Amino acid sequence: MTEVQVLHWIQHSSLGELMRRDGWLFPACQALHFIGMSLLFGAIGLADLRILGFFKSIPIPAVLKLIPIAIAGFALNLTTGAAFFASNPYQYWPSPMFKLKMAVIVWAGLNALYFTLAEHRRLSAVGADFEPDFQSRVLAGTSIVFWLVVILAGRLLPTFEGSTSFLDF
Amino acid sequence: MEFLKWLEHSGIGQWIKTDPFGFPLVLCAHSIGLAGVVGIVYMLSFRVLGYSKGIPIAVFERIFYIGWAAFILNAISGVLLFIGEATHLISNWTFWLKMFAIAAGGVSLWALWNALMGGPERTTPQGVVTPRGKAFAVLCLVFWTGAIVSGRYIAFTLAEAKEKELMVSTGASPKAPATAISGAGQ
Repeated sequence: MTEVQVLHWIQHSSLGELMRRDGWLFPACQALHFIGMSLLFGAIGLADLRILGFFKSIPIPAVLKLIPIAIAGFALNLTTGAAFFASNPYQYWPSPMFKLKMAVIVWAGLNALYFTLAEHRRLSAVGADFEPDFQSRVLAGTSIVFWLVVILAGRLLPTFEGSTSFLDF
Repeated sequence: MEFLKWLEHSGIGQWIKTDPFGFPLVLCAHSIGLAGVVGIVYMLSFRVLGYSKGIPIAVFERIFYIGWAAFILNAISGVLLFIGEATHLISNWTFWLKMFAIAAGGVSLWALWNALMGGPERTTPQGVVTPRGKAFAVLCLVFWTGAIVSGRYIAFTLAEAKEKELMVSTGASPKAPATAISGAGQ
């Protein structure tokens, strides 16, 4: 299938039809998208700050227990995000800001995946006075910056609606 | 109303309204602040309701510094957003619902913190989680979520009001009811 055929199929999927049919559904999904954002950013931001060395009275394993909240927030936003996209794929697909947002989400996801595979198990078993090493801190710092960029790029999506370059909005 | 008009036509008001960077920049600040304030309130509420009990509640006293910084960012960006649309927002019910939700959310958070850390004998790192504290945590979740939802709907009710205004001023016959989608891009 060509790019246009895929976009056409997505637009005419039952999700796309549903999003366009009910006027209240789009704003409701947007509200959910902001709630998911707060869950994701609140949980991952606190975990990242702790790993970076702030709030040292929180034991590392305790702060890692927040990660399922972040995953729940991400799942909520993946679902509502897919619904926005299906409602009008041609509006999102060419936008440079949409591409940036998706790229940074993939980066942040790979960052989180690497952390999960390489560090999570080890850090979940450490004692109360353990401090993470340099690699963990780099991953945490990268994570918090990436998610901030994702929020900003998302907020700027409407500004770049209909443009195909960052220089034209 | 004269004052609100003056606000909207002031330099700041026009910057928000017409500068290509004005509105997006202020909205960016507002959403970062939102994630900070509500993110922290959510985490405290979940902790009080029994999630991740290894986190000492007293540490939130220091996390609140970030919360306050985020709240101040949103108070400033919120005032700027208001200035740009002052004449419309003053009579917008979703705007006032949001203001109520923030006030009620603030009082709930204050009451929650007092319930956790109130008396001198209670000031242990774990705080004292009473049923009253849990009830305030639920109220915090409800009101701060309400602030997000009503805030998001301002874009839609505002677009609808402006569309109606435009139809009246141009004498256009009312067509199909203004679709909610018209506010989606803001």
